[in-house]
Amino acid sequence: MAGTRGGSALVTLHRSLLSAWCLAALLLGSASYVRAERIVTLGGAVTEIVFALDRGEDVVAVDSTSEYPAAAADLPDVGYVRALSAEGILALNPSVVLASADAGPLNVIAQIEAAGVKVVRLPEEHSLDGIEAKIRALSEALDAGAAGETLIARFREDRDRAEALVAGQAPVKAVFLMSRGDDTLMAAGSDTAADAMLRLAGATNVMAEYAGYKPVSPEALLVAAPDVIVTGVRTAAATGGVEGLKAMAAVAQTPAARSGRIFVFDDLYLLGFGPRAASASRDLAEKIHR
Amino acid sequence: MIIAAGVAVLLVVAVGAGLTIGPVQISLTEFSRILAGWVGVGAVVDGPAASVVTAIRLPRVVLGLLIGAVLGVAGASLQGLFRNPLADPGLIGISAGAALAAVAVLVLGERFLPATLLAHALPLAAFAGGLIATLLIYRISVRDGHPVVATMLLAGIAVNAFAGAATGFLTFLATDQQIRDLTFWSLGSLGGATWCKLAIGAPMLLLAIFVLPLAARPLNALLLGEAEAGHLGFDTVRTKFLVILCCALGVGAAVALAGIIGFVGLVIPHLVRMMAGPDHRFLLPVSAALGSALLVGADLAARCLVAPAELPIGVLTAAIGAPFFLWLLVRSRGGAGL
Repeated sequence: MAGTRGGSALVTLHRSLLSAWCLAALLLGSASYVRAERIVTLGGAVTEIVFALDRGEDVVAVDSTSEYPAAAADLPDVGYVRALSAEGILALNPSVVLASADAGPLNVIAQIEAAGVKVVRLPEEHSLDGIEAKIRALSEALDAGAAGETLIARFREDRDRAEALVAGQAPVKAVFLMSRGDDTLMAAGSDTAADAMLRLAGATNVMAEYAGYKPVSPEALLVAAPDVIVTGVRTAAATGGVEGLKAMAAVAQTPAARSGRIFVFDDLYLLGFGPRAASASRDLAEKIHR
Repeated sequence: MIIAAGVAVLLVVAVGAGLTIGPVQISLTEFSRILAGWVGVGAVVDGPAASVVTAIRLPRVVLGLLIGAVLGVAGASLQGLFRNPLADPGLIGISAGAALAAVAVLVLGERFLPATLLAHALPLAAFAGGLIATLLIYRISVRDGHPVVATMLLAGIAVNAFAGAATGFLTFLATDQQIRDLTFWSLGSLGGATWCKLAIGAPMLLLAIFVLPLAARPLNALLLGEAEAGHLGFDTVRTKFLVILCCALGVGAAVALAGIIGFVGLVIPHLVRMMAGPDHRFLLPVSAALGSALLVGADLAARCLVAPAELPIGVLTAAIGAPFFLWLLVRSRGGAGL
C-alpha cells in the first residue's frame, strides 16, 4: 500500500515538474524568435535579398551558390541550384521554397510542389531593373512591407549615384580578369555578370567580342590595351596580390598596369547581382572615373 | 547456388532500404499503409509522405534496378564478346557518343532549338548519340560481312578520342553554368526519375536485360575462339550484332535517363566471375542482379550522405565498388580474367 502511494506521489511530482518545464520552455520560446515560416532559398541573389529583408531567421536551408551573408553560408546546403534533390528539400519541412528562375531540374521543382509545398519562382534578369523587380516580388511573397520599401529606396539611391558618376563621362576601356595562379588568364567576354557590371560603371569591355569567361591570349590582351583592369579577391589571392598580377607578362605592358589602375573587388559583391549590385556599380564607377 | 541466393538477398535488402530510408523520415507502418494504398490494397494515402514514397522513391528505385541490371549484363556480354577484361559499355562508344550529343544540346540547344523541344532534347540526343557512335564503330569493323572484334576495339578507341575532342571544343564554347551542368550530367544521377521517363525508357532497358542472357551459349562458345564457335554451329555474326545492338539500346537509354554512371559495367562482371566462374549462363543474369543491388544501394547513399543535397551517383559506384574489387584482386592473387 505504502509503496503504491509513494509511487503515485512520484508520478504527481513528475507531472508537475513536466508542466513546469513546459511552461518554462514556452516562456523562453516566446522570448526568442518564433519562426513565421520555414524558408528554403535557391539562388545566391534570392538568399541575399531575403536576408536583406531581415527574414534570415526564417531561412532553414540555402543552395550552394548562396555564399553571402555569412549566416546564410552556415545554413544546411541543399546542393547546386540546377541539380537539386526533391527529397532532401522536403525533409527540411519547408513552408515555402523561394527559387531563382534557373533552379531545377524542373521535374524536381514539380515534385516539391506535388508534395504540397508552396514554390515561388522569381524573375531573372541581369540588370538593375531586374534586381529591383526581384526585391519587389520577394518582398510581396514574404509580406515584408516597410523592410521592402527601405531596401528598394536604398537600392535606388546607390543606382542614381552610379548613374550620376557615369553621366557625361567618356567610356573607359576596361577588362575583368581571372586567374587560377598558374600564369594563365581568363577574361570576361560579353553575356557575363562582369561585362554587365563594367557597362553599368561606365566602361567598355575590351573583350566583348566573345561570350562567357574564356582563356585570353596574352598578346590579345596587349593589343586590346585596357586602361583599367578589374579583378576579384580570389584571383588577387591566387596571383600573389595586385603586384603579382601586375608582374604577369600579359598584364605588365598594359596601360592599366603602367598607370596602376588595377582594382580588386570581392567577387560576390561585384558579380552577385543581388541587392548590393547598385552599390557595387557605384563603387566601381567611383574607382574608374576618379 | 549459394552465390545466386546471396545476390538475391542483397538485392532485396537494397530495394527494401532504398524504399524506406531517405532524408524524409517515414515510419515503417506509415510506409506500408502508403504502399498498400498505392498498389490498391487498402485506402489510398495522400499527403507529403505518400508523395515522397510513390512519386520520388519508387521511380528512383525502379530506375536504379533497371539501369544497374543493364550496366551489369551489358558489361558481362561485352567482356565475353571482346574476350577482353577491360571491355565495358564505354568501349563501343556509347558514353562518348552520348556525352558529345548531350554537351551539344547543353551548349548549342538554346540557339538552335525551340524552347518546347529543349526540355526533352537532352535525353533524346544522348540516346541517339550513343547509338550512332556504336553503330558507326560496328560498321567500320565489318570485313566481308564479318565484324572483326580487334578492329571494333581499335575503332572504338578512335571514335572515343574524336568524340572527346569534339566534346572538349564545345566545352570551350560553353558558359560556366553550362560546364557545371555538364559536370553533373557526366557523373550521373537517379534524382530525375519520374514514372513518365521510366515508361519511355523501360522498354529498351528491359529488352537488353532479357535478350542479352539469351546469348549466353554462343558467348561461351566464343570464349574458345571465333572459328571454334563457328564449328560448334553458332552464328557468330548474328551473336555479335545482337549483343552490340542490345547493349547500345539498353546502355543508351540508361545514359539518356541518368547520365554516365561508370564502373558498374566494368567491375560487376569481374566480381561475379571471380566468385562463380566464366559460364555466361550464370554470369549474365547474376551480373544483372548484382548491378541492380549496387546501383540501388549507391543511390540510397547518394541521397542520404550529404542531405539535404545529393552526391552524384557515379562518384559513389566507384567509391564503394573499387576498394571491394581491389580487396578481391589481392585475395585471389591473379585469379581475375576471362
